Amino acid sequence: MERKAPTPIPAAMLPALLALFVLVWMLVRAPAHDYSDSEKRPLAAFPRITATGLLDGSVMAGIDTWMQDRFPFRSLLVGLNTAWRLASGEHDNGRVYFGDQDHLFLYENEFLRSPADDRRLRLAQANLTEFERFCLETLPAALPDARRSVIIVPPAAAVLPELVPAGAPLLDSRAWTERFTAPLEGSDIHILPALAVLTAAPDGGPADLVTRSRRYFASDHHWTSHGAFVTARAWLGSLGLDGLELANFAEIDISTKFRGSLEARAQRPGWPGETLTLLNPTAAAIAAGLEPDPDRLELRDPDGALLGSGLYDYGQLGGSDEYLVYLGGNPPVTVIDTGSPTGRSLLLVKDSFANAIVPFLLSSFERITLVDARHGSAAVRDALEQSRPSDVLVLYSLSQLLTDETLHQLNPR
Amino acid sequence: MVFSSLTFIYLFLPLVSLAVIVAGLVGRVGQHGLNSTPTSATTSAPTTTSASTTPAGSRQIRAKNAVLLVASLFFYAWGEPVYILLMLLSIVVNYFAGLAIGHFRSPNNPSNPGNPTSPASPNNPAPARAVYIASLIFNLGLLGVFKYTGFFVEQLRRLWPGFWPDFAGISLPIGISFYTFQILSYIIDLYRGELPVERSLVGLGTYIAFFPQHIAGPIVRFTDIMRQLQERDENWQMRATGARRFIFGLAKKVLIANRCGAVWASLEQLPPQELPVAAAWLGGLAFGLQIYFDFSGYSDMALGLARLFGFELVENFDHPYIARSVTEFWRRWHLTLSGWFRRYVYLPLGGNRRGLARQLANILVVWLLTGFWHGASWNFVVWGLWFALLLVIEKLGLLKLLERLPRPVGHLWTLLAVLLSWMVFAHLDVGTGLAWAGRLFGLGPAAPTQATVSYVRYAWRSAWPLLATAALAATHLPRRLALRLGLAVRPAAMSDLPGEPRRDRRASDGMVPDQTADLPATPAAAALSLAATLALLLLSTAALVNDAFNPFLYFRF
Repeated sequence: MERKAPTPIPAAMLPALLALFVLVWMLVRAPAHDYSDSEKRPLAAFPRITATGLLDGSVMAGIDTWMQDRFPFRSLLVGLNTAWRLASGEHDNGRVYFGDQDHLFLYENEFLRSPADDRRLRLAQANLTEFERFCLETLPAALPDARRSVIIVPPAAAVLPELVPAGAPLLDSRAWTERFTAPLEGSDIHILPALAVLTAAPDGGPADLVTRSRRYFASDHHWTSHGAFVTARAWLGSLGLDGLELANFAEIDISTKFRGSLEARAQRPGWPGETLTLLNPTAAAIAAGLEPDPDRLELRDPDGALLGSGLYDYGQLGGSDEYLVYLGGNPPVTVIDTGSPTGRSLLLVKDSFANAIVPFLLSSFERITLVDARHGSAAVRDALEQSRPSDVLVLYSLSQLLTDETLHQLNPR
Repeated sequence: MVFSSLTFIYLFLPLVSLAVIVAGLVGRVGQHGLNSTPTSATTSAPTTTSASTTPAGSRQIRAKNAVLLVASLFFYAWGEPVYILLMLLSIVVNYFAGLAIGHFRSPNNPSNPGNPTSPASPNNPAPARAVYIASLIFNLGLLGVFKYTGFFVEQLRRLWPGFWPDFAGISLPIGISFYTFQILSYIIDLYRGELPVERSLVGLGTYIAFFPQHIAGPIVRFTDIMRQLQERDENWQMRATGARRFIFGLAKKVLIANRCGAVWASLEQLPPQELPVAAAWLGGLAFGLQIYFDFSGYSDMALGLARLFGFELVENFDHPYIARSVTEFWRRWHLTLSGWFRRYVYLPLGGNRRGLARQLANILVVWLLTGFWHGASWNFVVWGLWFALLLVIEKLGLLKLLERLPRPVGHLWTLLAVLLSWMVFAHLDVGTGLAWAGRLFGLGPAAPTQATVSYVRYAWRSAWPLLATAALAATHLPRRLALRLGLAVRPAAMSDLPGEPRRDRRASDGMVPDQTADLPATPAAAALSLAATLALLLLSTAALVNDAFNPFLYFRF
């Protein structure tokens, strides 16, 4: 049989070839964005070319990563990939689970079922030790008279299991929390069972708090003001500091396009974002002196320098991470004088989850000092030495406790 | 660098394509400037020519070959910066070995006592034989040192714990098994008188290092490519079909294999004693589909890339999972490796010409080597011997029985046999692999945790659409559908009989020539085909941009 004569290339093939070269052109010309707003992470830079790097292959690996991170239309392509995986029946994209009611959950399969992943398990084990040492040695030694409490905030999947895809492997939050709290049993440290608090429906509370799905963001790993409120009320109540009433607060929607850290891993095309709602004291509660006005408070560093005015940094709205609206971020040490004449002061050793709970502690403490150990051990040491709190609250999320590579900075070396 | 990377697809490939086009233009200008007559290239079959050397090819082709060689070396150096020296050494040594064999076999050489007019004369002069043997030792020695030293040292240490206690192992140069086998085929065929000497260092270097196929095959014999190194049919039709085949291969790798691989990766670390039967099946199916779509996807990409540069390679896969016997499976899986062992090991050992007992022994030897070729580990040896056993059983009568039984019986037998083999192939520890295989049938103790049971349910629920799609895609169905809808056109002169590829194009005996489908004939079908191809490219790119899981499976080969 004779071979058919080659037909001319279809005209439509030319744009495809052109597109390939356009992509190359765009890559060469791509402006050097160093941070991805949508993915909330720094983007890989072009690697430095060195002889060592060329020989060990790290330069080439760096270029591959740079290509991935700076690829034109990256966000659209990530969204397309997510849409494709969802359409093909998958319930995760290897980074997040796609739950019901548009909720995303941290994909924890890797951590759960990779006993061979020694590095992560070693880190978790080391953090267990550091946490125990801080609670049982460092804190009592520095502040022997303070009342000490611990809150370990569970991940959303533990609180909202009904929204997680059926059978999805999850971190055993209860077991891991118990591993952190078990060594503290028998000491004078008060441990709030946050998982039980957050999973229980409030007795006789308003409907918005009964809806547990509102206690965590759908698109972010943090809890919402509602979740923080439930926990704050339970903790204060357990200390005998009753009086935190939801009636004194009103919901204020400050953003309808909030796209959190989990959304950054999913990039669902067409997802409009969610509402970021604050619980702000009502004017009546402020006028009656039941709650301080959060907008009139000042955030200062230990030397008195002003860090920010108002508990909420509305300037973060529309930015890359709207969760930063809570306290404006995580400086090493933040001091808030609440103006509440309670005679009590609080040292809050914390991660970013605590930023959402602070508004509900204002009426219970005259001064709140927040310490974030991720900035170094000096901040913790100075706070322990200089503040004389009546209460100390150690508030961390379980995920942070397991994965924080700086937790050792809680303790003096 | 691997094909399934953004760097390769969107930087390396366009730049190399551009460089080859420019080299062609420069070569054409230079040729017109220097020569008033066009350079002729041989069109006669190499095995029938009495010439002992191949012609030089046109200046244009030589320029393109040079660019392809440089690009191939750059491609290799990207992943193996140090071992590029090893590849260069191999090229140079074998180039001179080839020249020497050709020189000593030349009819003009007074030291040649054999029949000078018969290139296939067994009476090779002693110097040619010496160079030939030295070359074999050199090539097999390199393969042995870099691939098998660690294995043998480990075995000796088991027998004699004090032996070389601080041996740290040698890292394996990527693709060494593939390119060593290519080199060996050149040297052996040359010595047998079945090839002319390649006098161009660039030509031989391009053959050995040709980036489309040197890290994951197909293993191409020099005889299948040497004419194309001199003269090749480059046109836009070929480039377009090549681009389309590359994209299909990329999609097979990225959209199917990687996702099956992720399912397998989430299960493979489970100890067998915690393995529910459902998990063993899910893992087995996922791995079986991953390795097929990964490997055949790489082969598709290789054939497609080669076509972009005007080469037609040989096929490496032909829907192996539709086979009705293990014998047929190996006529459809990794064809170029099977062909290599048949030509250079099985037939020289006597094949089936010296009685049944000798044939069975030959099968055993070939499959022992085939297993060991896949990796320096006992599990690959067991894997090879498993197939030897199955092939012997089929040879002794089962094959005839299978042919008489209903077709599903043959399919079931083959799929089960192959699935069991993958469990051993996938686990370096033979005991774990056998235990996994046993769990497919509920054998052995099992105490899965509730978390495992729950996860397996989740994984099945997530993965079944993928596995079902992959299983369908592994059959003839997509190709037949594309042909029926006119989205692809069967290559001209191809046999209309399913499973009977045409044999009249560039492929040596036993090899299946490039079966890449032609472009659609009608504009509407062409537009639809193009849209489908671009959609696959877009989805594959999206996956490469976002997914971290993109394993390279051939680092042990």
